[in-house]
Formats: sequence, C-alpha cells, structure tokens
Amino acid sequence: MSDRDMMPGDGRPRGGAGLSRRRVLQGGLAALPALLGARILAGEGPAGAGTTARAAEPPTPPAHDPTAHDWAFVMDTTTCIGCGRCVEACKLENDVPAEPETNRTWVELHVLGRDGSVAVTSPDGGIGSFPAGEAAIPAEAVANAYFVPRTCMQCENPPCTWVCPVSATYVTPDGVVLVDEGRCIGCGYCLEACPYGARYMVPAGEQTPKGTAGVVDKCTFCYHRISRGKLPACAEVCPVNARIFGDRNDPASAVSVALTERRVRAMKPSLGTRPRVFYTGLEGEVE
Amino acid sequence: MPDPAPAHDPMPDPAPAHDPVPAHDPLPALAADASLDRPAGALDSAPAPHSAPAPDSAQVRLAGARRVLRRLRPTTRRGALRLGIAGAGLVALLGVGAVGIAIAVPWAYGEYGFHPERNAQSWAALTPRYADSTLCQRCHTAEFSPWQAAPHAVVTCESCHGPLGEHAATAPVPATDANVVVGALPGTIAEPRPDLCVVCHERIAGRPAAFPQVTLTEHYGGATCRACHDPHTATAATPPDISHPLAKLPACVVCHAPAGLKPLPAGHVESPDAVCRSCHRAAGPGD
Ligand code: HEC
Ligand code: HEC
Ligand code: HEC
Ligand code: HEC
Ligand code: HEC
Ligand code: HEC
Repeated sequence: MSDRDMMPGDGRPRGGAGLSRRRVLQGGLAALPALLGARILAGEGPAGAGTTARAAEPPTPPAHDPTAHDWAFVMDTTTCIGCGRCVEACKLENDVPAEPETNRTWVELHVLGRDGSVAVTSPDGGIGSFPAGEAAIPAEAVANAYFVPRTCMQCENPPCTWVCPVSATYVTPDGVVLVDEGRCIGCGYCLEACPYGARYMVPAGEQTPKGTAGVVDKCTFCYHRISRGKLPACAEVCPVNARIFGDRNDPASAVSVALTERRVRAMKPSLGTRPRVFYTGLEGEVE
Repeated sequence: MPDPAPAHDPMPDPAPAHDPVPAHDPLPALAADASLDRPAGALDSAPAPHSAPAPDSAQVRLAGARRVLRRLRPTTRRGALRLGIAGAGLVALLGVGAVGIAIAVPWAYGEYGFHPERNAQSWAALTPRYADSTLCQRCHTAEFSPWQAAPHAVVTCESCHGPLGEHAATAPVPATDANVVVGALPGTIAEPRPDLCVVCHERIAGRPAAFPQVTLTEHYGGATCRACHDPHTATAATPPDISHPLAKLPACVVCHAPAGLKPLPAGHVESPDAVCRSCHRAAGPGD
C-alpha cells in the first residue's frame, strides 16, 4: 500500500483501495435480495404489529447491553407471607388477564405432613392471600408449612424452546426466555413441555402487553423494567424481600450475596433445565 | 479491471504423484486424458486419496464430470476469453453478494438464535407502570416522612396504592397536602379495600411466626383496622380500658355525647355500646 492511500496522521487506510463507485453501487444492488432474505429469515411475523398504546412502535429501546447481565432470582420461602401482592402487581404491570388460571407468577402454600405428604394449594394464584383456618391436614399432623412464590424458571436449558415448531420462543443473552408474539402460532406445545407450568395461553378476548391475541404469554422477568435498571414488579412490591432479584455478574448484588450465603436449591434439578430461579427453605419433593 | 482469467492460466498439476485416480481408474483412456488436461487443479481435492480401488459410483461420476469439463474447455482464444469473463463475473457477483449481506444484515443478527434483536427490544420498550417510592416524596411529604421512619417503610407505597408510575410522572405538584383529594385517582385506594391490612396481617397457616399478625376475631373484634392504625406508620393508638363501672348505667353515648359529661374524642362516631366495647375493654369487675 502506498503512502497516498493513507490520510496524514491517520493509521487507517483510506476507503480508496480499489473500491470504486461502481462497486459500491453493485454492492447496494446485491444487498437488496440479501436484505429481503434476512427479513424473511428474521420472521417479522404476520401479527407482529402491536396495536395498543403500550407497544412502542417503532420501539425505543432503553440503552442496555443484554450481554452484560446474568439475571437470577432467589425466592425466600422463609420470609414469604403469602400476601399475593406480587401476583396482583404482575397482573397490573403486564396486562395479565384477570382469570385466576392465567398467571405469570403465583404463590403456593405448601403444607408438609409428618408422614412426608405435601399438600399444595394456590387459590386464585394466591392473589388475595390465603384463607385462614383452611387446613388441608389437621394441625397436629403438619410438620411444616410455608409459601412458595412461583414463576418461570427462565431455564438456561429450556424445554419450551426445543419443542416450539416455529422457533417463536428464545433465550436472550442475559438469560430471559421470551416469546416472539409475531411468530407464535398458539399451538400450546410449550405449555405441555414446561415442567413448571409457567406458561399460559392468552384467553379469547384478551391480549398480551403488546396487544397480540391468541398466543402464549409468560414471565419476562419484567424485561422492560430490568433493562431500565428497575426490579421486576413482583420484587418491587414484595413487603418482606422474599423475591431477591439481581445480576449474577455483579458479586455485590443482593442475588449474588443470597446465592453465596444462603443454602439454595432449584426446582426439579434432575431434569437438567438449569433454572435461574432458586429457592431457600424448600423442603421435600415439593415440585 | 485486472485480468479476469487467472484461473485458466495453464498450471502444472501441483501434485500428480498423489493423485490416486490414474492408478486405479477403470477407464484408463479417460483418466489419462483427465490427468493431463485437468483445468487449473479444479478437482484436486475431489477424489479422496483413500477411495476404494474397485470401480465405484463415485469414480464413475468423477469421470462423467471430467468429460463435461473437457467439453467446456475452450478451444479458441476467443472462447477462452469469454469463459474467463464469465468466470470472473461469477466471482465478482459472489463477492459483491457477500459484501451486500455483510452490509445489510446487522451485526446483532443471530444473537437471539433466529430472532432479530428487535423482538427482545420491543419487550424491553414497554413502559413500566410501577414506579418507585422515592418518587412520591416530592409531592406527598405528609405520608412519606412518617412512613420512612416507621415499620411500614419496608412496604412500598405502590404495594398498597397500586401502580402509580404514570401518576407520579404526570400529576401536578400539589400546593399543599390539603389539595390531595382521596378518591381522585381511579384504581388507587379511594375507598380502601377492607382487606388491605388483612392480606398481610391475618394469622394464617404458613406465615412465618416472626411476622406481626393478628387473629381477626381476637383483635378488637375485627373493627376497621384504620380506626386505630395509621396505614403509613402502622402504629396504633391503644384504646384505653374503661376504668369506671358500667353496671346500671345508660348507653355510653348518653354521657359521652359531644355535649355530655365527657365528650368523645375526635374521630369517634356515636355508636351502640357493643361497638364501643369492641375497642374499649372494661377494667372493672362486674361486667
Ligand atoms: C400499608 C399500606 C399503605 C402504604 C405502604 C402507603 N399507604 Fe398511603 N394510604 C393507605 C391507606 C389505607 C390510605 C387511606 C387513608 C384514609 O383514607 O384515611 C392512604 C392514603 C394515602 C394518601 C391520601 C391521603 C389523604 O390526604 O387522605 C396519600 C397521598 C398516600 N396515601 C400516599 C402514600 C405514599 C406517598 C406512600 C409511600 C410513602 C404511601 N401512601 C404508603 C395505605 C398505604
Ligand atoms: C408531581 C407530584 C406528585 C407525585 C410525584 C406523586 N403524586 Fe400522588 N398526588 C398528587 C396530586 C396532585 C394528587 C391529588 C389528586 C390529583 O390531583 O390527581 C395526588 C393524589 C394521590 C393519592 C390519592 C388519590 C386518591 O384517589 O385517593 C395517592 C394515594 C397518591 N397520590 C399516591 C402517590 C404515590 C404512591 C406516589 C409515588 C409513586 C405519588 N402519589 C406521586 C401529586 C403527586
Ligand atoms: C403488603 C403487606 C402489608 C400490608 C398491606 C400492611 N402491612 Fe403492616 N406490616 C407489613 C410489614 C412487612 C411489616 C413489618 C414487619 C416486621 O417488622 O417484621 C408490618 C408491620 C405492621 C405492624 C407492626 C408494627 C410494629 O410495631 O412492629 C402493624 C401494627 C401493622 N403492620 C399494621 C398494618 C395495618 C393496620 C395495615 C393496613 C392499613 C397494614 N399493616 C398493611 C406489611 C404490610
Ligand atoms: C381498637 C384499635 C385497634 C384496631 C381496630 C386494630 N388494632 Fe391492631 N393493634 C392495636 C393495638 C393497640 C396494638 C398494639 C398492642 C397489641 O398488640 O394489642 C395493635 C397491634 C397490631 C399488630 C401487631 C401485632 C404484633 O404481634 O405485633 C398488628 C399486625 C395489627 N394490630 C393489625 C391489625 C389489623 C390487621 C387490624 C384490622 C383487622 C387491626 N390491627 C385493628 C389496636 C387496634
Ligand atoms: C353515666 C355517664 C357515663 C356512661 C353511661 C359511660 N361513661 Fe365513660 N366516662 C364517664 C365519665 C364522667 C368519664 C370521665 C372519668 C374521668 O375523667 O375520670 C368517663 C370516662 C370514660 C373513658 C376514659 C377512660 C376512663 O375510664 O377514665 C372511657 C374509655 C369510657 N368512659 C368509655 C365508656 C364506654 C365504652 C361506655 C359505654 C359502655 C361508657 N363510658 C359509659 C361517664 C360515663
Ligand atoms: C375502633 C375502636 C374504637 C371504638 C369503636 C371506640 N373507641 Fe373510644 N377510643 C379508641 C381509641 C384508640 C382511643 C384513644 C385514642 C384517641 O384518643 O383517639 C379512644 C379514646 C376514647 C375516649 C377518651 C379516653 C381518654 O382518656 O381521653 C373515650 C371517652 C372513648 N374513647 C369512648 C368511646 C365510646 C363512648 C365509644 C362508643 C361510642 C368508643 N369510644 C368507640 C378506640 C375506639
């Protein structure tokens, strides 16, 4: 390369090196089909266009680097009081349909009997707390009882993404399993595949937060909140800090501290799903 | 443009000794011919050196391919030129196509599997609804200051009042606290839900023992919690026991009417004896 190709004081070669105007033009022409191909591959789905005021179109994403985080949750069953404020907050934050069986998050009461039995109840997902005096087993037979906040485990190895016939569900670099509502055909395979029952079909007449109907919805870890540095809505309203959320990349974050200092376990570890949601104080095979 | 046909420069076969084809070729004439005339080593890598010596379909196919190539071989200078130009054109097209793809497809493509960054970003672009208690301080010091120093400081404002992010962003700064009209905002605690305190504080199975909780029937007869407790601080004024005798006396309000012997304190309503006594216990004997 000759000196003429260099700008004075500039280490970079000038664009000249044989790149004629004509070539650039050719490149542009060749780019057209490539662009089209990429669009088709990218599958900007048929129903993709959000219709509600909430779906910012075009999206104005907050400045966040999805590769810089490693989100995780620690659910503390030793402090959870089963008030259900998290269930309500999730519904209000994420337009989750009011039906009691459609929940992105819910709370269960686990009553462990002295005989090793486990009774799990969750009236209306626990949204209005739990009725007093309702005893699944007589008080003297109860070994332990506690509340268990549930949500999508955001598995590192998620079965739901394997079974989706249209690749509508995927994992972001920061570890959140999301649904591309434009691709989802609402077949419900992922509902069957999820070992944690964390997904639901948007009921007729209802919509996802992005205004799509007839598709599957699930916990996003409040992706719109965490990418702005906020807590997920459920963790925001929890009065007893039973939902410890944070970034595992940050050793000082509450979740990193909880993971190192508390004894935690995942649900159904034998399935190899590698959940990002961990539990403290969970006993027995209560899954 | 540089010479477009370097590929057709007569080139010595780079490795005739290693070519297994002549030795094992069942069609010697063809093979010999091919080994001499092979254009530019185009097939150098095609025959595997360890291919079986017996005539197999691969070799037959190879021979066929060579025949086609030989036919394509230009016999005149003009033919060579034309072929050269065509070849160069093809190479140029591929190159330009590759550059086009590189330009048209964003670097982030593939980061989400088959999904464009766009879908995850559209999830991230939704507007959060729950704000943060610190935002409320600006306009609601009358509630914020006592709350901040009280046991209820662990309960966020929106845990009781619901999502108020939009309210915090759009409400006018009230001139005084008196300007805050209860009931002005739909969905907040206009007419506070009667079970607001109960969802967190009723004694139910599964609630950690250390958490402050009451059995409703035993705690002042289930009177409205806010009659005694300030929701923002959770502190309660203890109703004093009735130290005077009650036997053979008329109704409480006879003497405790606003103009009576001892008027009711502010906030009290005139009510039947039973209601008074749900809060005020009689200390004396005989009741
Ligand atoms: C434990 C639940 C709870 C929490 C936490 C709470 N509030 Fe309230 N708040 C209430 C209830 C209940 C009322 C209704 C009071 C009434 O009508 O007497 C109320 C009333 C109010 C009012 C109307 C007051 C008026 O003038 O009548 C404002 C403003 C308010 N709260 C702001 C806040 C702010 C700001 C915070 C956070 C610092 C907060 N609240 C936290 C339960 C709560
Ligand atoms: C910029 C000032 C401002 C901020 C910030 C603000 N408010 Fe208000 N708030 C008001 C005003 C003004 C009213 C009176 C009603 C109205 O005019 O909308 C009010 C009313 C209320 C009421 C009574 C409404 C009713 O219908 O009973 C509650 C409760 C309340 N605010 C809670 C909050 C909470 C919780 C936050 C923090 C998330 C907050 N506010 C942030 C200005 C503000
Ligand atoms: C969202 C759950 C929640 C709601 C709703 C709630 N509280 Fe509380 N309350 C708490 C928590 C958490 C504490 C602190 C517990 C602790 O210190 O361990 C608390 C503490 C208290 C205490 C004990 C204070 C002390 O001195 O230790 C009282 C009394 C109380 N709340 C009364 C009320 C009343 C009355 C209401 C209804 C206006 C109410 N709470 C609504 C969660 C709640
Ligand atoms: C007549 C007034 C009065 C009423 C009504 C009342 N409380 Fe209390 N509450 C008190 C007093 C006084 C205390 C502190 C002394 C005590 O524990 O009895 C208290 C204490 C509490 C505590 C703390 C208990 C502990 O173990 O620390 C909670 C929780 C509580 N109340 C919740 C409620 C709830 C929920 C309601 C409504 C169902 C309610 N209170 C109604 C007066 C009242
Ligand atoms: C014959 C009139 C009379 C009747 C009826 C009466 N009171 Fe009183 N009460 C008084 C007087 C006078 C005082 C003030 C005593 C003092 O200051 O030493 C008082 C004081 C009180 C006090 C303050 C604490 C105390 O004992 O000093 C309470 C609480 C009270 N009364 C509740 C009641 C209730 C509840 C009833 C109905 C069951 C009732 N009273 C019926 C005359 C009456
Ligand atoms: C919801 C519970 C509640 C009910 C119902 C109630 N009170 Fe009270 N009362 C209190 C509390 C708490 C106090 C002390 C704090 C205060 O002064 O407001 C009190 C204070 C009083 C006092 C003043 C005591 C003093 O030493 O100054 C009198 C008198 C009284 N009540 C009488 C009555 C009578 C009469 C009734 C029935 C008409 C009644 N109360 C109903 C809770 C209640």
